[in-house]
Amino acid sequence: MEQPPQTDEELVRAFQRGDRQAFGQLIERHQDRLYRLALAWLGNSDFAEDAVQEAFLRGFNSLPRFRFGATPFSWLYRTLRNICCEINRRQSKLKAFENAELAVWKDRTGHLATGEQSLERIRALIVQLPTRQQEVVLLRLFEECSEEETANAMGCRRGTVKALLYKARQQLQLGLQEERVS
Amino acid sequence: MSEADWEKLKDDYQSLKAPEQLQPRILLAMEPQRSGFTPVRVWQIAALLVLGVAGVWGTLQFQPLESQQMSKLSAHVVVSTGVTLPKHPLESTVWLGMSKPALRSLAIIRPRLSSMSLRPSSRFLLGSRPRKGR
Repeated sequence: MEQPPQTDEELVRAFQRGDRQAFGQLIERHQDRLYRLALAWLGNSDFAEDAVQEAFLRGFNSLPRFRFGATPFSWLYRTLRNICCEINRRQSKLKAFENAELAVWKDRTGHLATGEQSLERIRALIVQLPTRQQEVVLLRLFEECSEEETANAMGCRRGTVKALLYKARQQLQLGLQEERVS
Repeated sequence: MSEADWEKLKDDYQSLKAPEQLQPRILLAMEPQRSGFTPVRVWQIAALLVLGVAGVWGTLQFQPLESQQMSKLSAHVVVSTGVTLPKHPLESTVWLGMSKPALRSLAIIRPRLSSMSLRPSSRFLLGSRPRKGR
C-alpha cells in the first residue's frame, strides 16, 4: 500500500504530477499559521482571510512551476507577506501595527477570544520593533520556526536572523519592563 | 513577564486557528481555475471569433472595390507620365472612372492629390515621385 506524501516538498511534487488533493493537504497544513501571521500584520480578520486565500490561489497557479529553490512554506510566506503589504498600502487606515486593536470576531459579550487577546497583546508588544524584527519575533518565537526556516522565509542568512532576534529580544525586554511598570 | 506568562502567551497565540470556512472558500475559489475553459469563457471566445470573422468579412466587402479602382488608376497613371486634374477633384470621377467616395479616399491616402483641390491647375506626376532638380 502506497504511503501518503508527508513533507511539503512531496506534497508539491504530488501536486505537480496532477494530484489536486495534495494541494488541499498543503492548505490544511499551513492555513492556521499563515492566517495568524496575516492577522498579526493586518489586524483585521476579513483582510487576513482574503490574504491567505489569495496566497494559496497564487500558489495554486505557480506551484506547478515550482523549482524547489526555497521550501514551499517560505514561498507561501513571502507571497503572503507581499499580499499583506499590498492590502496595507490599499487600506492606509489599517496599517499593520499602527492600531493595536484587532478587528476580529468578538463573542456576545464583546470580548475577544483567548487567541485573539494574545495576538492583540503581541501586536502591542512588537509594535515598537522595526518590520524585520517583527517578522523574526513572529516566526521564531511565536510560530516556532527553525532558524533555517525563518531565514528561508525572510530571504536572508541565518546569521541575520540571529542578529535580528537578539536585537528584538533586547527591545522586547525594555517593552516588557515598561509594561510591568505601567 | 515571567517565563510561564510568556509560554502562556505563546500557547494562546498558537491556539488561534483559521476560520473553518476558510479552506472550503479557498478550494471554491480554485474551482473555476481548474478548467481553463468554463462555459462563460467558451461563450466569450465564440463571441470574439464571430466578431473577428464579421470584421474581416466586412473589410473584404469594401476593400476589393477600392483596391481594384486603385490599381486601375495606378495602371492608368503609370503609363502616362503626366496628368492634369480637372479644376475640381470630384469632376475627375468621370475621367478616372471612379466613384466619388473612392476618389475621396484616394485624396486622403495621397496628400498630394488632396492638395490639388486647392491648386487645381498644378501639374503633378502620379505613380512616380518628381526627381530632385526637375
